[in-house]
Amino acid sequence: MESDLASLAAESLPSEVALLDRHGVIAWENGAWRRAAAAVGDPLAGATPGRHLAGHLVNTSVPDAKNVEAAISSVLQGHQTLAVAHMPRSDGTRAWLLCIASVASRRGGAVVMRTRAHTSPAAAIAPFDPVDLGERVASLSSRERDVLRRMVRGLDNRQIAADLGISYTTVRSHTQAILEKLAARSRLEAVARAYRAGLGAER
Amino acid sequence: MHLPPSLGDLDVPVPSHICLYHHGYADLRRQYRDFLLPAALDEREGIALIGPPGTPQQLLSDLETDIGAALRNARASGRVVLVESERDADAFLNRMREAFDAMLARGVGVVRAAARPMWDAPGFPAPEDHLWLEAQLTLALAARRVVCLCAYDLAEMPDEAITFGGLEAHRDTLFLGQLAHSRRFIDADRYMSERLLRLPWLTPA
Repeated sequence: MESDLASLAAESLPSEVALLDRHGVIAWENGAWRRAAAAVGDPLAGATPGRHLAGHLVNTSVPDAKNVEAAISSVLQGHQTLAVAHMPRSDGTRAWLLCIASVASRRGGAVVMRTRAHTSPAAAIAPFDPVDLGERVASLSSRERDVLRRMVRGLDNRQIAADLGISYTTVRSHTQAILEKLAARSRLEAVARAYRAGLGAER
Repeated sequence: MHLPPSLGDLDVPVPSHICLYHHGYADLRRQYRDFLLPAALDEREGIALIGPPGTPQQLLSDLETDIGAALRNARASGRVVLVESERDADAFLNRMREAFDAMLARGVGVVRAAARPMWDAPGFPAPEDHLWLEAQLTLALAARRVVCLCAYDLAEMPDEAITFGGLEAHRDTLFLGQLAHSRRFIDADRYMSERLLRLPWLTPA
């Protein structure tokens, strides 16, 4: 059944739309991503535009076909919202038909359907005290600050080395020291802390 | 030398950085076989297998089984390379660039890179660094004749990876044989400000 529906959906899709799950569909079309209008009982209501909504759905609704219907409904209404709906396999047929209907409407949006929830992949960073953060940033050397500012701009170590006229190995040493001084588990955690401390704002 | 790579019947621009959505390892293995087979049979093409420690070896072993041929000579000559990740995203990025450059320097026309990123896995960059790496890889590939497929497993990867990594950090996505531009793609020069600095787990409550 699913393969027949997948074929049907694929044949009816405009070129810019892609199927994204054997157990469901993701589809998108032209247009901006905008917030869905809040509707009574709509599990998408209150979701932040442009952000991933799976957590919102999981937190607010029982993951069943009703979520799928609500998500697709927002698409059909032209709100073009990215909606992630979790769908038990038992509801597959109905949800598939609804998805195909939404795709056929060619009115945009995206519906991602997963057979089970996958959320909370990354542990949140430890909250940091602004004073403590300030002290940690203050402990950075002038050169480490130079490197960190460029990390905040998204540069990689090679680019930083070229920009500062120092060796790649030296930049690596600086980045290691920065992570240690800021107690960061990752490059981006150090960047996030520096940014919160205002280090990325200056150029 | 121009070697138009293909994904089934699809012509793929070079360079490309494509998110391949798949469902489980068996599905990935089949799709990577189809993607890599032309390069395995053509000495003018190179193959890079990328992933956490142990994964590139597994991809190679399965590829050899699936195509019924050993690639040890191609490995020995540097036409097939295995690139293992490490926790340091920048070092991992550098390792990939060097692998691509080495293959291109030895004369291959195009490199087919098959990556299997993991989310919060040992020996792989932290999730936020993984996303940064994806954006940087787009920049790195811009000047290299590489078609890089990054596999995102819809059966296993969390929604954040599917959305932030798959849809937003890749200009193109591939699923069920359909290559499509991602409407949510964010250019690398905006990815830091528009996504990375707004990651929910990096934002204090």
